[in-house]
This record gives sequence, structure tokens and C-alpha cells, in this order.
Amino acid sequence: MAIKKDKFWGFLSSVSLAVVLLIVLAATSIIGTLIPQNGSYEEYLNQFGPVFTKVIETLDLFDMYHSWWFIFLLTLFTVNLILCSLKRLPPVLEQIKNPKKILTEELERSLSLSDTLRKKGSPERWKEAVKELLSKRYGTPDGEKIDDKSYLYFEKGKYSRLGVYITHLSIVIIMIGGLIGAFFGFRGFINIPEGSAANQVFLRGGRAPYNMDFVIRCDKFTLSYYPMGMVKEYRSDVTILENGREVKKDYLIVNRPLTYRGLTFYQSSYGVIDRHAKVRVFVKSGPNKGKSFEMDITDKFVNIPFSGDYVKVIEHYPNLENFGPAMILQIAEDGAMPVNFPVYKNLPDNDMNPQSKYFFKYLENEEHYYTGLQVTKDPGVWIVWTGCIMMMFGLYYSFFVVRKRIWVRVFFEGERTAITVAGHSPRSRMFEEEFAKILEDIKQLNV
Amino acid sequence: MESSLFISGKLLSITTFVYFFAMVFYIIYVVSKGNTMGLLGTIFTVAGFFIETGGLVLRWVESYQMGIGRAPLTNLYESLVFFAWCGAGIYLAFEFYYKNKFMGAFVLPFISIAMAYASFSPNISQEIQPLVPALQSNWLIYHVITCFFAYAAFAVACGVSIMYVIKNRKEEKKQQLGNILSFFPSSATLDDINYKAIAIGFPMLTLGIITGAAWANYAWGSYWSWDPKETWSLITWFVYAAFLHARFTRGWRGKRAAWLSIIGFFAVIVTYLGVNLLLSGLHSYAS
Ligand code: HEM
Repeated sequence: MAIKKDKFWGFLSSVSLAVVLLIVLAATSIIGTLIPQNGSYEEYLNQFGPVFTKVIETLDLFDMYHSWWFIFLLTLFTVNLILCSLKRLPPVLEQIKNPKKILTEELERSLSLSDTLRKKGSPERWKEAVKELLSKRYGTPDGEKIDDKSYLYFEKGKYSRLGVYITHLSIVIIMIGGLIGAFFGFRGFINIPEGSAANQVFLRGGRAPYNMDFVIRCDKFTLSYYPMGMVKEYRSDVTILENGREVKKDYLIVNRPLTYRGLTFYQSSYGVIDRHAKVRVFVKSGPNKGKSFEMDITDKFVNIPFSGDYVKVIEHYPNLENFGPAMILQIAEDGAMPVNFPVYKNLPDNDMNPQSKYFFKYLENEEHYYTGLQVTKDPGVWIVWTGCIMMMFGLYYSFFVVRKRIWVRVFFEGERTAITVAGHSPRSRMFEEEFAKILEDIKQLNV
Repeated sequence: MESSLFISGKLLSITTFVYFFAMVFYIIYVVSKGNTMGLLGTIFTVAGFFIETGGLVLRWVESYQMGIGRAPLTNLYESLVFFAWCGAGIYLAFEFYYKNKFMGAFVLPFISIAMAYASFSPNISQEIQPLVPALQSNWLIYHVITCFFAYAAFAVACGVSIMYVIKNRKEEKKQQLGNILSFFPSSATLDDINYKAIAIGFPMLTLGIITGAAWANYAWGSYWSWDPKETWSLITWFVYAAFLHARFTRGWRGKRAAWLSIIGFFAVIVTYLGVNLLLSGLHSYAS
């Protein structure tokens, strides 16, 4: 029984389980990129048919990253990570605190890099010379003298082995941050017409709306364009009010959110509430031929004076086909099918609808917008960022700080001084060359 | 302005051909072992790298001349070019460090294909376009630089792993190593290069995912939303994490680790191109 239990814990804290879990997580995550997530039931039924839809539903594949089995995998992964790290950390800490500093014969045999030089000169002088040489590269050594033998111990990158544990801890921290966000945060949206204020956030996932204890007003929404007509910026100028008092004026653009009292607002969409255009109408034919008048048009059909014809504005472009600002009008004449045509500001003489009884000239255009803001509350986000910074720190330590250790033993051996140098580094291949160089340098020393 | 536009485009097209010739020379070198060919491969790669550097810098300057100044890292074309640039740089560093040109025949094809695809695919626009609002963020620059640097390191690792698998297969069957294979670096060296390239790529990919998350949080208010591109970058990350741990596990070293590196690069390609071309999501390079 005890053996079984040990085996179980051993398995749960093993690196092989980690490798398998990482591969399983990678493989299963693919599913959610192939099956669209969080769609409507009808869409799935259309796309996959009834049988497959049933299968998908049973396995929660419509929202697989929050499904019971995916969360189970993530939990198992986290448990594996924590157990494995806890199991291995104490010996590592012990090694950092009390490294083997004395190059015993036994230690020497276990190290693949070691060599002994025999030289003339006193051990004391040799020890000092080697110490001076190696200190330049590896810092001040620990020294000790036991019987007639002197020992030196150099160590660089002492803490590099902690990098892995910092990395692993950071993963746990990021997960904690994610959980806090999931349980104590929300995501919603709020649409505010220009000039109006709102405090009710509509939440995703069919939850009851959230009432903010302050009010946000959209003073102005502005679209600006590049010369070639692409949108350059969506901007909302907003004011935050508390108890009717203005407390903050700011603006939002994409990539410049606004945070107030733990809620963050993002520019995410916009829409037109109503359109107004002013045009001058010239009557080209019919009983009123020759008449001309100014007219206000909206996005609902408006009667053209002295007639049974109607017109409305359906779209406005800041730069249509590189001719500059233009509006698209829709006209219904004599009860016929409505016809769409553009009216350009910069081409006042071009008649884009020659069949019509009327000719329109662009005078003004005005649109009123609402701005669409996404609103989120995520108290876990700072924990996630802390975890990310820790992770980079940990990875840097794991990969770029290399632990290097060098032992030296010097003693008088009959006529000569025996100098034994041994080295160890987990990145052995790179260190081999370095070690060979050290030996070469020592050989060149004169004492 | 017209004439300088001409120049950056021209330099980058020349680069495509120079890398292509470098690849051909490396392959001839592997087959014939003629040292001149190897040297030509290196010379062309170095030349390609410098010409490409010029092209990228000019493209940056030109975007300012057009009044929409932004780093040349913001659409599919530019990211492919940047990938090739990083790949060539990292490859050259490894070639000089390990003094072995055989890897060129396995790495240059990735670089060459990236440049050729960028230059000749009808789906890819080479124009310098202004940035839509969502892309106007410094995070984008950090995100793209770190991701593509990582991808380039993984391409090198993948090339080396393919060599490892080929060599290992012969060795396992106890077959005589052919003339060519015996000139490959030793299995241990290949394994070492593979690890080093991934040891560069993995932290970079991690930084790439983090900067991407930071950007998403700024632009859309959510650092992680399981959009297909994000998910595939996480899949890639899992695969390379598996690779790193495989080294500490009996039975997973050597051949299986090499396969993980190859699969990892496959995941990179899906993340990078597959998601844009086949799946939908927030990332708008393809459209
Ligand atoms: C995605 C999640 C993980 C990441 C990013 C990660 C990261 C790392 C990194 C960067 C290293 C250093 C590798 C090297 O120096 O070559 C490492 C080593 C290690 N990891 Fe993980 N790890 C993860 C999950 C796990 C899990 C779940 C376990 C559970 C068993 C684990 C156990 C280990 C062990 C035992 C080592 C070797 C430590 C040593 O050098 O003695 N890791 N990990």
C-alpha cells in the first residue's frame, strides 16, 4: 500500500507527466481553434449536423477552454508543477547554501573536467598566483587550508538554478491572476449617444446589467481619416460625473483606454444615430422646371417640395473614390423603385443621376454618433502582469545565467607543487573550452 | 519619393534572389563538399543580410516620407521579410560559432521560402499602408519583433533537428554513414545547437506572447481571449516547453526531442500563416 502511494506521488510529481501533459494540452487546444467557440446552437446545427453537434455539446467543445475536462487538465498540470518544484527545491537551496567547497578525491573523480599540473615553486606562491588569475573571471573565492593542502572554490551564477523555480512559480501566479479575473471581474459594453450620459453596463453572457456608481458622458465622437480615406482614429471625448459633478475629462482612442475606479473603458465601436444633410435642389424638368431651393435631408424619406417625390441620405463618405467628401442619396420619384446616387462636394457640376428630375448640390453634412465602449473590471490583471515579469526574469536566469564552479587544490608533493583544477557547469559543452583555456593560462603562469 | 520607394522594394527583391542562390550553393556544397561552394553560400547569406538590412531601413524611412511613419513590421509582407532577416542573422551566428556550413542547406530553405512567398504570392500586398487604429500601438512593435525573432530561432532549430533525425536514423540502423552524413556535425553537436536555438527562441516567444497580451489588454480590454491565433501561439509554447522538459526525462532525449522541435516549428507555421489563411480571428494581417 505504501509503495503504491509512493508510486502515485512520484508519478504526480514527475517530469514525464509534465511532458505528457504539455503535449496533451497542446493537442487538445487545437480543437477550439477548429470549432468556432461560443456560437449559437443553430449555427452549430447548420455547420455540423445533429449527430456531431450532440457529440460536441456533450464534450463542451463549444466553449472548450472552460470545459470541465480542460480545466481538469490545467489543474492536474498545476498540481504536477507545484509538487515537482517543491520536491526538487530543497536540495537545490541546500546546494546554494552549502556547496561542496573542498575538492576531495571523491569529488574529483565525479567531475569530468579536472587536471593536475606539477610545477616548481612553493605551494603558497602558486595558490596566490592561481587565485589572482581566476579571481579576475570568477570573483573572490572561498579558501581553506586543511592539513598541508590549500583549497580554493570559485562560483559564478550561483542562483541560476533558482531561475527554473521562479519560472514555475510565475506560472502559478499567472493562473491565480486569471482565476481572480474570472471570478471577480466582468466584461460588458455601454453605448452612449453624443451629448448623453450613462451608467448602466450590459454584461456578456446574459448576466444582469451592472450599475456603475458614477456616470460617463460622451461629449463628442470624432472619426478622422488618412488622406487616402482609411480611418485613422476613432475618438470619444468623455466626462465622468459623480453626483452630477464633473470629476474628470478625458478622451479615449483605440489603444488608449481610460481607467476610473477599477473599471476600464475601451473604444470599441460606434454607430450613427442620425444623419442630416443640407443640399441645394435644382429642378431640371417637369412642371416645376427651373425652380431651385435649399433643403434639409435626413436618414428618413423627406418630401421634395412641390412634388410627390421623396429623398433621404443613406451614407456619407469623407473621401469617396478619391474625389473627396460625398453623400449617397436615395431618391424615389413618381412611385418608381428608389435609386441611389452620390453627390460630391468637390464636383458641384457633375450630375450623377441624369435620369432624375432633380439635380443636387452638396452644401453640408452632419452625422450624430453614439460611441460604443467596452467596459471591463479585472482585479486580477496586475497579478498576471507581475507573474509575466517574474517569468521573464526566471527564464533569463534559466537560460542566460550559467552556473560555473571551479575547485583548486594546491599542495607540496615531494619536490614539486601539485595544482589540481576541476570544473563543473551544466552547460558543459561551452564550458569545456573555457576550462581548457583556464588550464592553459595556469600553465603559462610564472611564480 | 517615388524613386526611393523603388529602392527599398528593389533591395528586398534582390535579397530574395541572393538568399535563393545562397541556399543553392549550400545544397551543392552538401552534395559535392566543394569548399568554394560553401564559401559562396556564406558570402551570399552575408550579402543578403546586409542588402535586406538596407531594404528594411529604407522602407522605414520611406514610410516617414509618405507621412505615415511607422516601423516596417506591421503587415504580412513586412513580417515575412523581418522573419527572414532574423533567421539569416541567427543562422550566421551559429555558422560562425560552430564553423559548420552544412546547416545552411537545412536552414536557408526556410529563409528563402519566406522571402519568395513574401515577394511573389499574389495574396500579399507589398505596399506601405497606414495603420488602422487597432495597430497604432508601440506594443505592436515589441510584439512583432519578439515573435519573429523567436520564429527565426525556431526555424534554425528545426533545420538542425531534421539533420539530427536523418543522421540518427542511419546510425540506429547501424548503416554505414554515407559520405554526406559523415560530414554533418556530430549528433551531440546537433542536439546542442537545437537546444541553444530553442533556449533563445523560447524566452523570446514568451515575451512575444506577453507583449501580445499586453497589447490586447490595451486595445480590447482583455489580455487573453482564446482567439485562434493566441491559442496557436500557446500551443507552440506548450510544444517547446515539452521539448525543454524532455531533456530531463529518460526516454525523451535525442530523437523524440528532435521531433518535438520539428513539430514545434510546424506549430509556428500554423500560428503564423495557417490561422490567417484558414481560420478567423482578431489578427488582421491576412485581410
Ligand atoms: C508551461 C509550463 C512550464 C514552463 C514554461 C517551464 C519552464 C521551465 C524551464 C524554462 C526550465 C529550464 C529548462 C532548461 O534549463 O533547459 C524548466 C525546467 C524544469 N521544469 Fe519546467 N516548466 C513548465 C512546466 C513544468 C511542469 C508542469 C513541471 C512538473 C514536473 C516542470 C518541471 C521541471 C523540472 C523538473 C525542470 C528541471 C529543473 C532542473 O534544472 O533541475 N516544469 N522548466
